Amino acid sequence: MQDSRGWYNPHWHYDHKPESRRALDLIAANIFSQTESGIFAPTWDMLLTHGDYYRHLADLAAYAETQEKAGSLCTQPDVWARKAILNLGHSGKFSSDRTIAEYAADMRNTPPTSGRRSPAQ
Amino acid sequence: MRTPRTRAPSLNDLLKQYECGAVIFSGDPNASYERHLVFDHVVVPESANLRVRFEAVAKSLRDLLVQRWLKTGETYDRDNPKQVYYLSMEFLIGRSLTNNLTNLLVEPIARELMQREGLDLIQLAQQEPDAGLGNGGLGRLAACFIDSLATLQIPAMGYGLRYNYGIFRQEIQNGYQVEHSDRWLRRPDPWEVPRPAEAVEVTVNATVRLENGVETLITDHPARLRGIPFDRPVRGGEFLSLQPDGRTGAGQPRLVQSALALRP
Repeated sequence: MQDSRGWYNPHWHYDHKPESRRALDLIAANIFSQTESGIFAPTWDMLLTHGDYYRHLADLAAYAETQEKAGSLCTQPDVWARKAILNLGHSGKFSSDRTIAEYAADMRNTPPTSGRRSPAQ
Repeated sequence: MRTPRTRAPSLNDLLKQYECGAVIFSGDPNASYERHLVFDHVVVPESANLRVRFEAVAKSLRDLLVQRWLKTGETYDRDNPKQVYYLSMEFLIGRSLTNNLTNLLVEPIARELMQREGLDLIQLAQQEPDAGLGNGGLGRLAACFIDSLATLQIPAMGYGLRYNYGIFRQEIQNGYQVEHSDRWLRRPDPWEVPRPAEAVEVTVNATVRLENGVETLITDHPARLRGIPFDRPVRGGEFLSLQPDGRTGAGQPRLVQSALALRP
């Protein structure tokens, strides 16, 4: 759905995609707001009437599929753990040590108080 | 020939490095933990409850931190390095006991103490409330940045507010959020160091009046705000190497919180 902003039309999804129609109908039928009828009307309007800048309905099927996949992975602890460790192992760039070392060297010019080298240098 | 140290040093080396002198951590009536237990709380050690024991362990750990903390200050005074001042409305630092145990590399000492006293480390850690100094993602980012500044030994200080009643404690009632005060300072916080002598007064041209549970701002009615600094050491990670020369304080920026108390 990369370049669909020009032609994205939530009504098309409502008319042609059963999962979109079902989700919106559940909201409209107050299934999630049984004691407070209508409180999610603004959400319904945002998704359908106002065109939905973020094009949620275009992603709904893929989102549900992925959620399903995560659900079945969750029942296989070994596979889950493997994926979790790999994810963590690949997140090194996001370490705050790296961020701070770069800020300190490139922007603030504040060297460490000892001769120890910081990881990013 | 000197070989580079590749594994963690022994606990004795560590304690020597932290300059704890003849005082040992625990296991003797004159050890740090036992003295804090008896003299801070005036209890017979056997009858001390878990919260009191937590405070004694925390105070003993703080004693280890203090030696390095003062060294950090000495280094700053001597080298006069450029420093970073990190101002944030929030520092979501969580609990400090386990952080300090890990980063000081003294977890084995604590485990030994737990075993001797028949205590569970997780139960003990749970005696500490999360510090009510932050709530959200930016607060956690600020805490990570302070940790990293400490770990990388960059001279730095964090400034924030010491919220007496935290941010808030959330409760969900009938699907809606109800906010309560978070009384995290109900019992004394073992890490913070009050500095009342460094208190600062600020005059503002407005007063807040509380009537029937409603706060009203009254302008053109000067009030004085009194800010009392509280210092809180943040110890960086020391996983790769230790500096045995004691020249630097192994990165412990002060996290200073100003408490603003309204004075009529």
